[in-house]
Amino acid sequence: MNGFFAKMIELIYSSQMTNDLYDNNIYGVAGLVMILVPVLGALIFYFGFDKARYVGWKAWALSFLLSILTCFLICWLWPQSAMGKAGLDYASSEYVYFSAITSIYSVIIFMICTFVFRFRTTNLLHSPF
Amino acid sequence: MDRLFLFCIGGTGSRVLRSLVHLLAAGVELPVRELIPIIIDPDKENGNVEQSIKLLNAYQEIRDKAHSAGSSFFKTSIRRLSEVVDGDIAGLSNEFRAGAQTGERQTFKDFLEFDSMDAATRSLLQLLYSERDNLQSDLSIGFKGNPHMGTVVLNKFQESADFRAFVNMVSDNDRIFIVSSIFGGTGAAGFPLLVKNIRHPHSDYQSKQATLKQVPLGALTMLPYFGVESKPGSPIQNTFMGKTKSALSFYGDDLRGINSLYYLGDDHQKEVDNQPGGASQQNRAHFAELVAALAVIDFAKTPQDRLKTNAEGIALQPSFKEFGLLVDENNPDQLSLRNLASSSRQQIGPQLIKMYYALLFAKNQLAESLATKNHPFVKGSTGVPLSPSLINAPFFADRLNPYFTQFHDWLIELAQNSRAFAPFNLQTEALDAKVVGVEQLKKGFFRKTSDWDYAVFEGYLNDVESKMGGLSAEQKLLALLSQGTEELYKERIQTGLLG
Repeated sequence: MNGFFAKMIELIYSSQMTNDLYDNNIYGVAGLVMILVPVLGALIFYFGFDKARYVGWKAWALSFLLSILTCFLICWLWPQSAMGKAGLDYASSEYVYFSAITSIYSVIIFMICTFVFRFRTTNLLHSPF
Repeated sequence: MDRLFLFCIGGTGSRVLRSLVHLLAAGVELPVRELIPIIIDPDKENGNVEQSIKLLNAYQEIRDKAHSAGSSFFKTSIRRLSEVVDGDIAGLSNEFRAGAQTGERQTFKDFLEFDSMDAATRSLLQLLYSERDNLQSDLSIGFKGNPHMGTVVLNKFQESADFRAFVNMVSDNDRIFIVSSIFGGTGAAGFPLLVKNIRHPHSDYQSKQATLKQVPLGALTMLPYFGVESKPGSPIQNTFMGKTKSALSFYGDDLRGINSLYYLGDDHQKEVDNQPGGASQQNRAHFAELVAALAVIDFAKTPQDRLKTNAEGIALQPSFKEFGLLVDENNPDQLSLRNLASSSRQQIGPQLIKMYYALLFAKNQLAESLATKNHPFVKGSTGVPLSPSLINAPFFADRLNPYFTQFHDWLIELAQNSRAFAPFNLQTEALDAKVVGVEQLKKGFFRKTSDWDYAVFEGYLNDVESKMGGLSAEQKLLALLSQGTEELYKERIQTGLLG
């Protein structure tokens, strides 16, 4: 899984950290986070909040932003902590860059979930559009 | 049953018809293919008659434009006699009101052609009718509580194009119902005449003799349920009870062709304005009229084998019915759905509740929902999209919304009359507190509450949108309101109302 996500992320990500990220199994965990967080966020929005009062773009946007922000924070702070424990010292901007890349994938996954899940809801069929 | 011909005689007949139309609009079941109301009232400007005709026209227009199999609102087809008659009948009224039985601004004396009579006949008439109160009376505002005038004038109805058309159309599969009051002028006079003309038709109607003698015939006669203010010089005086007694005595002896006769009255009587007739006679809706409308429905549901007559047109198993209420002895003047017996509550409660919530949504929220939100019921997942311009389109602006106003006015009148029938709390803003005496179900994941708002209502509309395929925008709107309120009723109100 580490290898799979490494290949996937490195399609748009290149950095001096890549080998260390791979060696410390960071890709595997970050890959799961960047998929599971937006899927979970979309599931909660479309099925936990399938009420007429949440129809429209505002509630959707809030759930989208929360999901991406959660993913961004986990993929920034957790690798930084894990790598620090392994004695590896990189600038914070390197972790922010890595996290931004995983967040791009999260955005794509959340959008895919939006298109899939909304057709199975009662009230949120046209949320956000 | 194929058709129900409903004769509504006089102001009371029209007021009962008004209640019936509101019940049918709300979706109360009337098991007929078509209802054909025929209003008989020589009072050309009677406010109650005008109101009922306006309501019937609105009902027809809404039904024609927006009714579909998916909607329980406006379910029953109501047609004018002129719409169902075969061929042309000269002089047939194309309104719900039967054509003029008298000329414009005609006195009773003119109607009798008094001046062309011989002296002996004139003397006899002067013995029977007072010069001032009867012979000089203007017939264009009715008989002003004088049934002995009405019997003469209304007997002409059997010669009218409307009666001819009715006789032509009536068949063995149809039924006839007559609504009238016993204590006034027009109804008290017209009812026994109409029964006579149906069961013992004129020789002109020879070919329909057998049908007219056998067709199930029901009638409701309203006993006094309101009084009139004492007004010196008015032709209408509070002598309702005396008139009732003498009329009942006559009915008992002579009206044997009626299969089901419903008696309805109320000893709890409020005095209304003393208006002998004309546009100013527009009495407010009364609970007794709503119950009278239920009699029409009860008759339509009566099994055919209980409505047999012999070859002479005499009912074989005549039934006589009254209506009972569960009155709170501490507050007998105030009624709600809770005061109805369970069968009546079940018959009209859900429908009235649905129509009331539909009108609240249409008046308070629909415009906002259409304009601002991406609701599936607006954008359409299965059905056509509903445009914000629907609010200003003729169907909603000129028909449905004014109808809702009429329904609301009717509820207000019922609630303000005495006895007051107030199934809804018309003042509160809380949607869950609208149905009087009914605690709505508590719902919620984290906190159970009976509170709900229009967003919840929109959710019900979204729920049912998937069943809206193939409907026009107008049909979809009505079907959404009908099915959405049905969901609302089942989920939140049914247990409290019927449990």
